Amino acid sequence: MKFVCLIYEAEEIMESMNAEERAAVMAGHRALHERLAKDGIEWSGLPLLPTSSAVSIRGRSGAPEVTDGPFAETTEQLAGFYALECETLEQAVEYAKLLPEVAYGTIEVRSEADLTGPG
Amino acid sequence: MTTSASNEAIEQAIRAAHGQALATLIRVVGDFDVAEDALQEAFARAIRFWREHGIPEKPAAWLITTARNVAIDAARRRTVERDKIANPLLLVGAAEREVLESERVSEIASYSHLRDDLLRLIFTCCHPSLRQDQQVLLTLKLILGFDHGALCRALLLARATLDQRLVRAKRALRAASVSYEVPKRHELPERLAGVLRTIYLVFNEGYRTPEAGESNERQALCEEAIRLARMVERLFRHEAEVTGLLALMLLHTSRLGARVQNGAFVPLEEQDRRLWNRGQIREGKILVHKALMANRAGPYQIQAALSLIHCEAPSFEAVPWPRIHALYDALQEVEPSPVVALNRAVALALAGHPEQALTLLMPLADHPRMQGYAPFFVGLAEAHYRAGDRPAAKEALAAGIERTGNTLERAYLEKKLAAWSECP
Repeated sequence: MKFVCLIYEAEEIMESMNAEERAAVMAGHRALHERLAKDGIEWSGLPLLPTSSAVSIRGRSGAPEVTDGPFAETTEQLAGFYALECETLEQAVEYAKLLPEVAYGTIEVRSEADLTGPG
Repeated sequence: MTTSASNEAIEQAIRAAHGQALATLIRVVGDFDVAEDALQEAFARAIRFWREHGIPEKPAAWLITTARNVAIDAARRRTVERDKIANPLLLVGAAEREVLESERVSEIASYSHLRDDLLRLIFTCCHPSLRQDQQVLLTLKLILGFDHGALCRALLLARATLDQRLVRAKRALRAASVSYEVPKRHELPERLAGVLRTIYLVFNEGYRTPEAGESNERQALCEEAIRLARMVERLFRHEAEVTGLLALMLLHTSRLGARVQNGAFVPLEEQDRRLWNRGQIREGKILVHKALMANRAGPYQIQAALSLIHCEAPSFEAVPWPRIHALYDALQEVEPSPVVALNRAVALALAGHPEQALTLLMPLADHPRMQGYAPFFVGLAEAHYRAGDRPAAKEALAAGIERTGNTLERAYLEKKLAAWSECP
């Protein structure tokens, strides 16, 4: 089953990190990649640019409109994600716990839904 | 919370929280000076407390709570000044004081309150009744949290000069009876433009080529300006020029690593592009594209687009000069200036039309702003050189060298002049 690990963090924290702290975060991610490879877990993921460069698309009535990204009402913003192929939620959670963002952000682990109905 | 924290991490956390903490505190205690004094004391306590117990999850909230208590204690001891506290209901009791020591510090206000607090402080620091250099000074100190030592180093001022200027800046604010508020809607565009101008000034202080032997410390101002622009962008998410300024500064900064090599100045045309910061270029690029999608072009966006062209070109030879020229055309429309005209003409020369460029450059020579402006003469020299007039090119380059203050840049130009004098 696929599990998505959504990485949320306050963008101000990222912005005030110095080079060393940034390097430590990247090292944390690389360590996770190595662990996933070692355990034979299929995965994909992306780091994302901050919400300052995000655009939103909505088309409530008529043509879709392109506006700015999310207004910074939330204290944490989506900074990146992983999609892991795991047997169980518990297994995905064990990997998510290894992410450096756990120390200052929130990792949301969501399972892929099964949209097939009965039959 | 980590179990303890290094001095560096603490300083960083304080700096990052400074703007918001001061801004909200001013509202909570109702007085600018009382807020500043109380915050200073809160910093001292933070340094001691955080060193032992670690940096709290919300440093700004911790600082605000602590400073508020300091202000109230101080006011109680000087009962005459009790009137300074705007809202007596904010007087703190023993139970609340315990919050200081505990791990969880509650939020002072809702998000929209915090947003307005920071906006008020930013607009006040950048008030038009202050001189530009005063705006820069107050912005660095109050919003970016520069202490006096850092201010001296950043602005190359002696301590005594700095202290004088701070006193005068505060006095100017009081004299203009600057009302501490968010500007009215109809004033916003102009006031925001003022804020952007100040941020860009901070950036340019950091961007200047360092003098021979000078450390790179001032370059940190570029990062600070970017941090401030990000703060403003969060508050004004729909303003394309804010996005444009952020993009512009990221793209310029991306090339800083290649500008000085082995103590020598390296111009754009010779820079090792592998040293450019690809991450900043990527972010700058998307910001430019996003801003242009909004279809409200402005000077910062156009300048960012210009910088992006350079950042994306695989080499100087591959730079699409006609596109650069077209963008300078657009910039000349929205923000005409002799410097823009100069750059536009130079782009024309580099695009293979030096004679046309010279036709545009000659009348510029009479402009008062060009008299002492080294880049004008350097640009003129390039146009003459490409038009095949070596003597005129050398004369113009010599004039440019004379007007170049920075020793590193000067050394580079002198080498160039020597090279032009050698080969036939």
